[in-house]
Amino acid sequence: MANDAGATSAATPGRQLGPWWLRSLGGSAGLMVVLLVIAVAVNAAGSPTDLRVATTFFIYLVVALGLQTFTGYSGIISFAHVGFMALGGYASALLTTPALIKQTSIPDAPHWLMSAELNFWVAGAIAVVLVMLIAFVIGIPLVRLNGAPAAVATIGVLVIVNTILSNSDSITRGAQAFYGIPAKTTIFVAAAVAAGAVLVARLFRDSDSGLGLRSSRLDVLGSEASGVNVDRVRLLAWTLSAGIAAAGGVLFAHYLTTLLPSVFMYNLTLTILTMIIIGGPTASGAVVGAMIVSVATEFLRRAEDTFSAPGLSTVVLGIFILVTMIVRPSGLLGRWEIDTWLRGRWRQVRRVQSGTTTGGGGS
Amino acid sequence: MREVIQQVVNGLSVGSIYALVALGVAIVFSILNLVNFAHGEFITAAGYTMFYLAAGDVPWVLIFPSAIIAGALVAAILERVAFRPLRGAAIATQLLASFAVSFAIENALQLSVGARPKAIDYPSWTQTTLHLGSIDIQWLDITTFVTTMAVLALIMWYLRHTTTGLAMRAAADDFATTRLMGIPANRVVVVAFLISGALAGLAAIFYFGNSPVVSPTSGFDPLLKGFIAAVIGGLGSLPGAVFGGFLLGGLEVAMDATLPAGLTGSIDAFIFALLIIALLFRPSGIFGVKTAFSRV
Amino acid sequence: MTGRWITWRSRAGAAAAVVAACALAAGVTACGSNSDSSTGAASTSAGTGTGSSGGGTYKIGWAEAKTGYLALVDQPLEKGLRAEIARINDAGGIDGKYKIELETRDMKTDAATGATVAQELLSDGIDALITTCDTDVSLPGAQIAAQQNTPVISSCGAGAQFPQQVPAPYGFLNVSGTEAEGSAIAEYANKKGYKTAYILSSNSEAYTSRLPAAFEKRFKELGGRIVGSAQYKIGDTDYRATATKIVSANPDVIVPAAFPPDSIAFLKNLAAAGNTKPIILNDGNDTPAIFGAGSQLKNSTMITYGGYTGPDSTAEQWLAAYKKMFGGEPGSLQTALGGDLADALAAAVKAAGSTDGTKVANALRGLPTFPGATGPVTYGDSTKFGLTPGVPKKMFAVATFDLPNKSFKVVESFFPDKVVQ
Repeated sequence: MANDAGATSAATPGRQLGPWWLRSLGGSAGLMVVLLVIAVAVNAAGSPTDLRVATTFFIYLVVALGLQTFTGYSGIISFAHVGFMALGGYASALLTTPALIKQTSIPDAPHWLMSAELNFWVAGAIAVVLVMLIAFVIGIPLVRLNGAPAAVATIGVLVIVNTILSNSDSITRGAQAFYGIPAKTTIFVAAAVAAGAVLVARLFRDSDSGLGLRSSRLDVLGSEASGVNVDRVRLLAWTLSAGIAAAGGVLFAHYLTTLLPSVFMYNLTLTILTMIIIGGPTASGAVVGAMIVSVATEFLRRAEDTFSAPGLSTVVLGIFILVTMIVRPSGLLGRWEIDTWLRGRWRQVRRVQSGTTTGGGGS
Repeated sequence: MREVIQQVVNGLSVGSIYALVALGVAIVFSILNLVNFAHGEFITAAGYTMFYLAAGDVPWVLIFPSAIIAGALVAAILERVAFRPLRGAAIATQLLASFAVSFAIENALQLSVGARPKAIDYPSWTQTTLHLGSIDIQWLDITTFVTTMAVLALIMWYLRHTTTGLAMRAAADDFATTRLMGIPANRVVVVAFLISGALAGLAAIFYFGNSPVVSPTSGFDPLLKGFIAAVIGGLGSLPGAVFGGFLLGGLEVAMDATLPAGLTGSIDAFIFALLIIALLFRPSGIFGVKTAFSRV
Repeated sequence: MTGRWITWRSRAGAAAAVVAACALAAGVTACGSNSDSSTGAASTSAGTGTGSSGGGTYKIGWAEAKTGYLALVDQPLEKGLRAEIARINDAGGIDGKYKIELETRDMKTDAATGATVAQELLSDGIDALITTCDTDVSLPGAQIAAQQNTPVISSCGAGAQFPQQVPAPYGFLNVSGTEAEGSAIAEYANKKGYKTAYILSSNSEAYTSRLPAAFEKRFKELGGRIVGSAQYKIGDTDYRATATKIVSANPDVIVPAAFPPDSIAFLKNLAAAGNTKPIILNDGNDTPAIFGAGSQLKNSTMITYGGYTGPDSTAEQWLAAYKKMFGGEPGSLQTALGGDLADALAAAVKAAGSTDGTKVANALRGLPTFPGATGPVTYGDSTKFGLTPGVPKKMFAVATFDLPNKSFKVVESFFPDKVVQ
């Protein structure tokens, strides 16, 4: 599939400026700036609680962008990504935690692991690559599944990861908290990684492989007939998305400074899934979805404390999700990136102003 | 030998419950392609119905049917409120909607009845055993297995010999065409949900008979097992779902009985690993023909 | 793990919420409320630094599990705590100087939310933090409290390393820990003359994997033998296969490290398999729901906290305050642990003569035996009893089950001669 074809379907028809990747770059720039502005604003004006809440938002956004890169673009639901997040977090935690702490917390671990005290960025990179390798191997069989079997198989990956972590007493302390992880995830680190994840997710979306993957979402046979190797692009997306989720896990580990396997289960999985489904299957969709879910949950959480009705937030949020999905089944932004959507609206407005009535882009 | 027979009985009993849940999941899936995660809530609803009626000293001959009705009722209500507006949406969207429904209900329960598990006061006969030589078989296990078999036969009969049943089989084959033939879609779907919910209610009776504690979250575990069983059987296939249920129950008990002590806590992980391997060779399950419903 | 995924956790966002709302929607009111909350936070955190609360109050914050699976242990304890706070305040407050205030927030049984909630409470100017009944889930929030020089106690979490995992001397437990409880069960089993035991354990949680390990160690030291063990996953509801194996193994005693609903299903399945052997349950079963387990409770005993009646405790006064406040008996013996929380902090504040976090924490670490709602409690010198600093010595209660009345009967209270590590 040629790049030109990609460009035409990704953006509204009309004048195209520059190569596809440059337009993706320009398109994501706005979102990246918004994220960084939020980070700066919260850091300057927010309370310590606000700071934590915003940092958590950025971390979950990274994982949501990871999940989006696979589930959003391929249409195959995955429950496994929080498992990849866990693996990334634990890998980086093991490589960075001071040897002094590891000597008491995991005295039976192999020596090289015990003495490893890598730099945060180096360890994070190693963790991401490691998780991508693991994802690649298990992805080879998994990407052939569709629909419900894929859902069950990926739940399986999540359960298996959880079982392995819970039983690796000598390395991860099993079900006990792994503690003493250096606190490195400031709001700026989290925001920067989130901005990077936006870019990666967007670039992949607009690339040949991303286009092929998105076409398979609508019609697997049709896209194979047009020359897309569906298994191959899915595997690529799966591996890449696991890497992004792992980066989120690294941030999470160095933010909470404590890890335990039970955190990475259905609850978090559902939160992340909700984010991408509410927003719609694009990078912008993940950002908008993550923002809405985060804001709504936090707002409801505070309201809940005021009215002392614990659990109310979840009821409201559940109904809210349901209503959103009934009203806009393909997510708030539908299939549009926010910049293409805005551009489409802008063109529409101009056409209306200049008297032309052809309905071009827009939602 | 005594232990082996005992474990076979255990396997059949567990398998019966999984089969009932899997069948309920598969009936809805076969028509709507909806993977209904809120199915667990039907089980929870039946559990609370039993708890409150038993606490109010209602006789058990009334409580058991009430549990089944409660399951069916909740299913029908959810169909109308949540799933009908979403009919035809992407599988992922519907799946997540069912998740959202499930969460909302669980938390509404937690708000209204509390998080603390409630013990259902089952009648004492469920605890009595039948002595066959050196083997003790619980009456509850016998009832579970016999009832499950009878209900399965009844459902097969219903699908073959009633108009709605035939319509459902046709809808499972090709919903669009069936509607064009003048079959009212809503009726077929509502009946499918009613049967699905009633099966969950029945499963709840036996499930809570073994573990008589109901909490807002107690539907999840049986749901997940039923879901796995349905996928083993190939989600569209009803006999497949039943087979998957018994296979899963048997596997679990066999692993529990034979694996070394350190590994019995990881049975779920082994089951999932086996499932993933099986799906490699048969990506749509063992009975993985989408339309097997029509051939019951 | 299954079945416990339910609570939808609170996520990110207040700041993002407010800032995003300001930036994108230009919401004037939202911006106003944001600046309010941030100035409020700034002033209170400054207050904490200088020793805080001159107005004669001692403010306790609880990052409590009000939803999620830990809610069923935290919620009864909150009632126990409220009763004891009311009693202390009615008597003029701590040392006649400080009235106790309690602020609780839901942390939804989620470690990350727990950290956010802890920060929120600290910003509100609390003097001490209580975290949820699981030391592992508590840890992120506890770290934040300890870093801000605030004493932090897990409501009933039993991981004895917890006080060492947060900066000293701020971390505390409210129970004697998993190892002490495992040792207590072993010594009780030995006293009853049981020679062989069958263990049920689970790697899903630290408590359910370390408790049987401690039991096994102490039981073997005392000459006992483990004839079999089985593992389960928390949330499992089917123990038929395991029960069949246990009955075949014919041990003198069965020690399941499980709590409801798992333990109820386990006991039911034991009954179905025809078990007649005694069972020793842990304190996780100290809840009214356990009576759903039925007939096997006749041959069961439970090791828990509370139910102490001696004069060297506040049990009687606490119970009276509880009945006055809630109009009935507490549903579990360990509800008294909630009372202990107030007793311990009050005793420490009194000893420190101040509400300063560091002084109170140091005072609590060295506090000699004081009367608590569960009996005499000792934080100072607890190392003498094989406990680590910050872990209190408390009396264990041996309870049996009165099935017709659905109530617990305390047979005796004791502390193990030796706590294994």
